[in-house]
Amino acid sequence: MRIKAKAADGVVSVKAAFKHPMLSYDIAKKKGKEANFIVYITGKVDGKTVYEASTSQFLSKNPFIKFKFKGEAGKELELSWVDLSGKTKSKKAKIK
Amino acid sequence: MSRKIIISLLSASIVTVLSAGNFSAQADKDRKALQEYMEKKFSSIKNAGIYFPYSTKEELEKNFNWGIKGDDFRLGSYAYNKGGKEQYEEMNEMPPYEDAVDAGKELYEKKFKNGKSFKDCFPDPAIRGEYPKFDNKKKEVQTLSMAINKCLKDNGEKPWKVTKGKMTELQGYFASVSKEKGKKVHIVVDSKEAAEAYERGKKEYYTQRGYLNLSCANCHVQGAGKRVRNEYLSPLFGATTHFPVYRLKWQGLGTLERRIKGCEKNQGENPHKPGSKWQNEIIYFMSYMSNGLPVDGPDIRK
Repeated sequence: MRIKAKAADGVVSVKAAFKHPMLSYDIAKKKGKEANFIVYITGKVDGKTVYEASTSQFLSKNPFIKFKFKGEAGKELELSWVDLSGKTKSKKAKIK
Repeated sequence: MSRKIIISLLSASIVTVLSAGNFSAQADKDRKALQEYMEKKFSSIKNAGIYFPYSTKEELEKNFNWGIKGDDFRLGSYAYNKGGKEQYEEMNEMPPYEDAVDAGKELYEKKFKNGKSFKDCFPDPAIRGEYPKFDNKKKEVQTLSMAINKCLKDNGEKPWKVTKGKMTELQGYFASVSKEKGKKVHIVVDSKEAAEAYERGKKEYYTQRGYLNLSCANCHVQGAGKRVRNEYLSPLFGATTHFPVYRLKWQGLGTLERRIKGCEKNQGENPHKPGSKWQNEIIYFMSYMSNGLPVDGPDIRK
C-alpha cells in the first residue's frame, strides 16, 4: 500500500494505491481461481473516520483512490481495507 | 638521430589520439541529423504539409503539441501527443513502477551465496545511461542485461531472464538513481570494431523485413508522429532513455529487449531472441541516437 497525504489550507489531499489482484467473478471463473476483491475501505485520523467506501468488482487490479478531507499536517492517517475473503490490511502515513 | 625518433614517436601518438576520436564521427553525424530532422518535423504546424501529408488540419490542431525540442523527446510520443500526455501525467500522480524500484534496491544490496553483492560489480548504481558499452576485449556489444548476468555468473549465481522479472527490477533501480542524479545518456564508440557494430545495428534498423515489409525506421523515423489507427508512433530520438519501461499492456516493467521482440512480432517478423547479438547491436545503435538526452527511467507508456 502506498499513501501520499498532503495538507494545504486546512484541506488534506490523499492519493493511495493498493496492491490487490481484484478478481471479479467472471474473470476468476475463466482463470479457475477464487473471486476476490476489496469490498470496504476506511481512512481514520485520531480514531475518527474521514473516508469510507464500499467497493466491488468495478475497481480494477491494484486500485488507486483519491480523496480530500478537512484536516491538518502532522497528524497520522490510517488507511485499511477488507476484501471478500475477509483479509484485512492497513497502513499509517503521516500527513505532510 | 634520437631527436628524430622522439619527434616521429610524438607525431605518431598524436595521430593515434586524433584518429581515436574519429571512430564515433559517423555516429555523431547520424545522431545530429536525426535530432535536426525530429526538431524540424515537430517544430510547427506550418511544416505539416511536408511531414504529415495525410493528416487533416483539424487533427493536427487538436491532437498535437508543437514546438518540441531537445530534452522534450525523452517523453517519446507524449512530447507531441496531446491526449496521451494528459493520461501520462495523470498516471504519474502515483507511478505504478515504484514498488519494482524498491525491490530493485533490495536486490542491489542483497548478498550472493559467496558473500559478495551487486555493489561489488557496480559500485556506482547511477550507470544506466552508460550502457550498452562495447567490450573491446571480447569485441562485442555489452548491454546492461549482459553486464548484470556476467556479475551473477562470476559470483556463482544463475543468470536472469533478460526480459522480465528481477532483471527489470534491478535495471529499474539503476535507472531511477541515474535519473535522480541528473545523468545523461552517454554511449561511446571508441574503436574500429565498435564502429562496425554500430553500423551493423544501424543497417538492421533501416532494413525492411517481415510480411508487412516494414523497417524500424519506416515507423519511428519517417513515421514518427503519424497515426496508425489510434496510436501516434514514437520517435527514434529519445526512444531508449526511459527503459526499463512500465507498459500498461504488460502491467509491469520490461526491458528494451522485451519491447523489441514484442514489436517485431506485431509487425509480422520472426522475432530475434532477446539477448542475441542482433538485438544487442540494434540496441547499441538506438541508444547512441539518444546520446545527450537525460536518463528518464523507469517511465510509463501504453
